[in-house]
Parts: sequence; structure tokens; C-alpha cells
Amino acid sequence: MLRPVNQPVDLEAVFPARAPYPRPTGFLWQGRRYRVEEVHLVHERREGANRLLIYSVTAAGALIQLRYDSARARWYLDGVYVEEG
Amino acid sequence: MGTLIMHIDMDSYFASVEQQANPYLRGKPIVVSGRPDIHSVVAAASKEAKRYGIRSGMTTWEARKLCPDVIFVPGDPAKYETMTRRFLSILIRYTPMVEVYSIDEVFMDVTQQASRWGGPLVLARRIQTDFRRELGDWITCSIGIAPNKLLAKLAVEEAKPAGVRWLRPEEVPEVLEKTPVESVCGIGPRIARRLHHMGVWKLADLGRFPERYLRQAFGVYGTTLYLWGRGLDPTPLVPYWQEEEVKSVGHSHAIPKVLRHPEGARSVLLYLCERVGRRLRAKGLAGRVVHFGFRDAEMHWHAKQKALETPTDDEERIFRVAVEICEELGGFPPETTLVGVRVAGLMPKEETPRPMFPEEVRGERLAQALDRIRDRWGEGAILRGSAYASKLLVEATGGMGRQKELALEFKGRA
Repeated sequence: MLRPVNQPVDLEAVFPARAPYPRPTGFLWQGRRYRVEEVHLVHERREGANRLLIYSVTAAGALIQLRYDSARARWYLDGVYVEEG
Repeated sequence: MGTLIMHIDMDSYFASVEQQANPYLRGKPIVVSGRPDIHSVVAAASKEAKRYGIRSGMTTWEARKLCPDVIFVPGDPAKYETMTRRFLSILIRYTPMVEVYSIDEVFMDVTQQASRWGGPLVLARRIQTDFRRELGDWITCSIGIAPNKLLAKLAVEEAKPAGVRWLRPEEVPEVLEKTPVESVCGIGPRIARRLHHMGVWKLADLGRFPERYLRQAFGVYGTTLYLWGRGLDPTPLVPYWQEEEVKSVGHSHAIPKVLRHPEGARSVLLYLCERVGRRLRAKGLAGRVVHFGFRDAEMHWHAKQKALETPTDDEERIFRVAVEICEELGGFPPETTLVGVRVAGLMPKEETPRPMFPEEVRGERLAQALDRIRDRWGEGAILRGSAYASKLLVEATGGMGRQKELALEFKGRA
């Protein structure tokens, strides 16, 4: 289950050759820097004309969801996954 | 070497994508579905859930009964659409002869390419490695290789999960002898029953049956059955870049329990008409014949069609005609389990007569305005009040009802 956070973050990313999407390596949230340890999945979502990139990543041992909003040209910490059951 | 067709079938696709996205779900029995509290169905079960006997198409209630610890994950079509586009982009590096069969199944003609990669088995393993490296360890596929699409689809069943099966021409007679007719895609339970009555149980029995009798019983389809029985497949591979001629545009939807009353069924019908109208306008088409049908609680199908004087792409007109047909069929019964609408007799919209009356022009402008709003803000941005069922349908199915549109979209975007 995703516990929503929905706050903007400053993000560092690399743009690997021939890869379809940039790869986040770390982000700054509430004054603290978090290193992205693993990117599990990236997918696109369209909200009308707006294109969003959704990243499922592990950072600081937690499973989190990052979002790039192309209409605002901004990265967000979407939420933190919590284990069910 | 003869023709080599690969059938690539993603293993437990939607469930594997969810497990790739969320490590907390890995190794656990999960089911991708709509909301489990409103009688949804299983769209995909993880391999762990399959061990409990859970299968696609079961109700969520049945799934929970088989495995009380099963985790229900709401379907996320955007995720699966992205992953399908990504695996297609991997496949077309090898050959442009790729047919998108569904959101998780693809045919490839590798006759020319296989020898360049060291044979079809090496090529298949290489594709599986590419998938693992670029999509993730949890998203796996099974690959069947055979001289045609029919046999490749049979071969892939023996390759699951995550394996490769090359069905060589000399093995075909043996496979035909052991394959039950009902396990072939395209032979449904009703046709299988008729074949059983004729003494046809295995594919090889079909090949031995005189073609003229099959034609008498099934018409043109009888010849297809006869060819299948001999291990031949008359359907060509249609690559994704080749536009298929659209003969009709339609949608049908199973109705969740809460909407099975006549008003609910009417609302589902309006929602389906909206989708048909939107797809017709997106393709620049209009149609002259409206087909409408529904299934009652006893699983009886009632259907009829009506020809219009002028072609239309207007959902309101399609809806009005469908309601007229419905009334001619005696109206919706107390419980309707499935409803469908289809527009055929298609022609380019620009070749159709312009509307003459102001109310027709207003209807057309309204539809175009709705399209613009949805293009800009998304499909759920604006709805007719009486199409309230759409929200419940999307929740019940997890948006899986859009698969037909998704598969078509790939053809244009892959």
C-alpha cells in the first residue's frame, strides 16, 4: 500500500545511452539527501495531455515512489510503500 | 530451414509487473483485480497464487476461498501498457515482423534472423536475457517456436513458465495426436462440444475428418478447422506496422452485481456507447449499422441489429438506437450480466453527409468538445451524469476493460 507524501524533491539523475528514461541516483527532501539504491520499475502515465513518469525505487532502505510531472517540469516524492499484512 | 514463428507469452504478466514494481509483493500469492469488495474478477494471478489453483477469470471471492492470504492488487493499466511498449521495443531490434496479438502476447517471424543468432533456441534465450536485464528479474516470458502461429501457441504451453520450446516439423504429428481440440485458441466450448458429438476429440481427429463434412457443419470455418487438424495455419502474421482494415468498432462489458438492474445496465450501455463514439471519431470513421446485445441471468444472449439512414459517430445516436433495439427485444431483464454494442458498415467520416438540423450540429459539437476536454485532462475528466456506471466499472475491473484500445494503440506507437 502506498502512503501518500506528494511533496516536491530536488533530484539527481543520469541519462544512460539508449535507455528510454533517466535514472534517478539520489534526491533531496526536507533538507536531507537520500541515495537511490535500486530502481525497480519505471512507467508512464497520462493525465490528458500531461505525461507523468512514475518510478518505484528503494532509497534509504525504504520502498518509495517518485514522480516526474512534465507539465510542471518537477519531481515529487509521491509516497512511501508500507508492507501489507 | 522452413518458416520459424515465435510466440512470446509473458508469464503471469500483470502480477509479475506488480511484483517487479513492489518488492514487498515478491514471492507472495497476489492477484491483480478490481476492487475485491465489489465482486471483481481475477485479471492475473502470480505464480505463487496459481499454486493454490487461482486462475484468471475467477471471481475475487473464489480466489480468497482458495487462498485466504492472497493479496489483492488493484490493476494499473498504465503500468502494463508501458511495459508492453518496452518489450516490443526490444523485440523489434531483432525483426520488424512482430505481431501484437494482445497486451501480453506477441508473434514474431524469425525465419530470416534465427540463423544469424545461432539458431532459434539461442535467439529465444537472448530475448529472455534482454527482458530480464531491461525490464527486471520478475518480468519473464515463455517462448514457443514452430512452423506457424497455431503450433507456436501450442508449443508455448509446454514452455511455461519462463522456458523455451521448439516444436520441430517432425514432432508435429505427435503433438496433433495428443492435443485436445478445446485447448486450441479459436475453438470455444460450444464448438468443442459439437466436435465431440462428431467423434472429434484431438486435433489429429480433425485432420482425418473429411473436409466437406466440416464445411457442412461449420461453413467456411470448417476449412480452417480441417487445416488446424493437419497442423497448418492459414492466418498470416500481421506485423504491427501494417494497418488492419477496421470492419467494426464495438465494446462489451460483463456487469458487476451492483449494476445488473435495468437502470444499471442502461448506464453501462451509455458508457460503452461513449467509448465506441470516441474511438470512431479518433479513427475518423462513421458507421451505418448498430448491433446491440445483452446476456441475461440464465446466460442467454439476446441480440439484434439496425441499419441507420445515414452513418454516425455520435454516441447519443448510437445509444438511442441501441435502446430502441433493446425495447424491441423486450427491454432489459431484472438481471443483465453482460451488455455489448458495436457499430459496423464503416466509412470515412468525411465522406458522410453533413448534418442538416441544428440539434444534430449541436450534438456533434458537444461530442467534439468532450473529446478535447478528455484529450487535455484525461478520460475521467468529464462524464455524462447518466453514465455513472463507468466509475464503478473501472473500479471493478481495475481499468482492464481498456485492453482492446491498448493493444490497438501499440500498433501506432511501438
